[in-house]
Amino acid sequence: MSQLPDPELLASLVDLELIYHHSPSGYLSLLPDGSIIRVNKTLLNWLGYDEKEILYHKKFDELLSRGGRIHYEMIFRPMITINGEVKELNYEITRKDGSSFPALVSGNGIYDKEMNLQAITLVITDITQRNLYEKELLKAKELAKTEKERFQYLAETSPEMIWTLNAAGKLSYANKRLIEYFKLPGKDLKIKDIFCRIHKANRIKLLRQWLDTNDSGKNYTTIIRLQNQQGNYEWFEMNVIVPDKDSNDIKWFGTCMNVDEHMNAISRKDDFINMASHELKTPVTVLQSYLQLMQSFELPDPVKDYVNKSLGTLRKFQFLISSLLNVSAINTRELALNLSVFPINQLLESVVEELRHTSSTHQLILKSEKEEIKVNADKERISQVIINLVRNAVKYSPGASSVIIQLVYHNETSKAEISIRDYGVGISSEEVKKIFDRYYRVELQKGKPGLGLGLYISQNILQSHGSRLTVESEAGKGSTFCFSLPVVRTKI
Amino acid sequence: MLFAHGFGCDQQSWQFITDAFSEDYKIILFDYVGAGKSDLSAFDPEKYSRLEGYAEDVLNICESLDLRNVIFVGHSVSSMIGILAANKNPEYFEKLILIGPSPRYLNDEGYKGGFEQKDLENLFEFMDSNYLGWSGAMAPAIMGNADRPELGQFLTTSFCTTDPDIARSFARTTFFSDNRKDLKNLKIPSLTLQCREDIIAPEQIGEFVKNNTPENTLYLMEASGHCPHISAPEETIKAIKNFLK
Repeated sequence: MSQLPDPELLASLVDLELIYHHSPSGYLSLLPDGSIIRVNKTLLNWLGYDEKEILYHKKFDELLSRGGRIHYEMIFRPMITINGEVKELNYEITRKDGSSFPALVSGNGIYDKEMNLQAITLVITDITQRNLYEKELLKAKELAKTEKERFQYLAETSPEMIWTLNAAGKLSYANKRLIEYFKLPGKDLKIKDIFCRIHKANRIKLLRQWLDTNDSGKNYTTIIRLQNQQGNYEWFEMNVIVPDKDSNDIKWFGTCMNVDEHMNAISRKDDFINMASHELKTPVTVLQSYLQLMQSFELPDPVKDYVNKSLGTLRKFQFLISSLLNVSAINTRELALNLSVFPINQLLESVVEELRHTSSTHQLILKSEKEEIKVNADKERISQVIINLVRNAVKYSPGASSVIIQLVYHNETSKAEISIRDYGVGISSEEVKKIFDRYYRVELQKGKPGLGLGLYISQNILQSHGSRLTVESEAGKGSTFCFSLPVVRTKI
Repeated sequence: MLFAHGFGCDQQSWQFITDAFSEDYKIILFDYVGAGKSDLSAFDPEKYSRLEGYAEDVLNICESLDLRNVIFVGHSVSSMIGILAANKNPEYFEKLILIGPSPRYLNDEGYKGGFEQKDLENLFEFMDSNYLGWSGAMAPAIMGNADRPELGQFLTTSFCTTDPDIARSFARTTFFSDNRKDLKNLKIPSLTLQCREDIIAPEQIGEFVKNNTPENTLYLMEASGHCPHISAPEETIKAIKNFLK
């Protein structure tokens, strides 16, 4: 800039009178008794009055509602006289036509040298818009409160224990059920107290899962035992959810459902099956011996045939009983293995051959390795696994015509991989998680006979061999069950 | 001289007139429970739902400080509190000064208190949203005071350091009280200071007090409004001194 602007021009830019009258706020000056002695155009426009209708004719409190006037007399006037100012009091201001608008009124006292109040100046802001926002905010707050109360009510009346933990691992919410279950009289409930009530056998596993969720952010479900107020342990299914939204207050959200009844029912079922199968075993063995005795006699052909068929049926019966006994052995961790080194090729061939006799609907295709592959395993139990898997494959692929049993030797891992592939109904990904559970039956297949024990037993047998049964399946396209056994290299 | 503040104020409201009396009298100032620097935890909603509860506190002050020949100066609702106290234990009191008294604010059959029920509802509604300014009422309502304690802090620095909830209760007790029948039992001489244009205790109420109270002097002031001890301290002092002569 080459030269300074003309001072007169600068001065003319600020027209105080213009600013006073056209300010976005209303200005009003009063005598100490409230008489109006000055008013700006903005306020006159809001009120609908002419200047002369107001000046020296009206007092400020005449512009207020009845409640506002009482408030003005009892609070506004004493406050301005003593404090010299008031800030943002919310009054309803009445217009000439009787309608009104909400306004914030701030005021300052003007004093003479002896500190006597001479006049009061008021700044008035129309807050009609602001009031609407405030009302909306209050409504939203009210709504949030109602929603919170609703969920709190649901949480409080729920039979499940419900809790949330904050990022620091402290309880940020616990419902009534949980507090009643854990709280000791006269003590605040701490997460440590709860942890002490988890059965020792579950603690480490639980902590590990906990750390996993912390890393992965994944939800999980687990079954644990908790000690109740009477000192007894009860089974609970615990669900832990890690909310997507970052919140310091809710890092983990969890529920615990009492499944003690359910677990006890399963246990009673196990006991009954164990007892019944033991009782069945002896008469079946006796029956088998008599039938085998009969075989050693010269018999007419039809009778011989009946005896053979009876023995065949009896073998199936024995397989069933041994399955049931396996379950109780697994439950009591008494599944003993009778290990020996044998060629898995041969076992597969003989098992498949035997199964071919009983399977008229499906062609059982065996794809084996030519080379002899030896494994160290319990021959009986491995054949039990294979029989189980092949029978399942047949059973759950009613529309298909073949089942493929394959043996592949993996050189790099020295493992023999056995897989059984069917082209049947398949298993949905949700059900895949549960099929190895005891007594679990695939939903669609509940009409078919079966105990829901085959896969449970097979999985346990393989686990005792240090192996694991895996499944790949697609609903409607079929399933492949697969397991591996380490290969033994024998020197010849 | 025992000064009792009115609704909406605290003992600071006497600051313009007490000096004029301090040479001749022992001056006693106090805040009612809920006002000023009083202990808010002492507030008992049951006790203070009646003016008798407040009168009891006045008598307690007299008893604790072993006061005699008390000149009781009560503003607004405190006028009635003073009458109730003096009726119960007249031995403490010598004279009562009633500034803007009203024995009943609500209109009744054959009685014009100045207020209809709906006016008072309007006031209470007003107080709910506005007790000591917008930010004091709306901000905590919207944001929740517990989360933002600093929003409530300005209350303690303002003129009326009154707890809003207690103020609401005090307002109800004040405006719904009816002490007309207590006036005739007063055995102590009293002065009524009546302002002009007082919408809270209009002139006809001053007349009513005068006509129904034994030994009452009515003085009609030049001052207008409801708080002459604040807006016209000189005139108030003069009127009281004349009466005490």
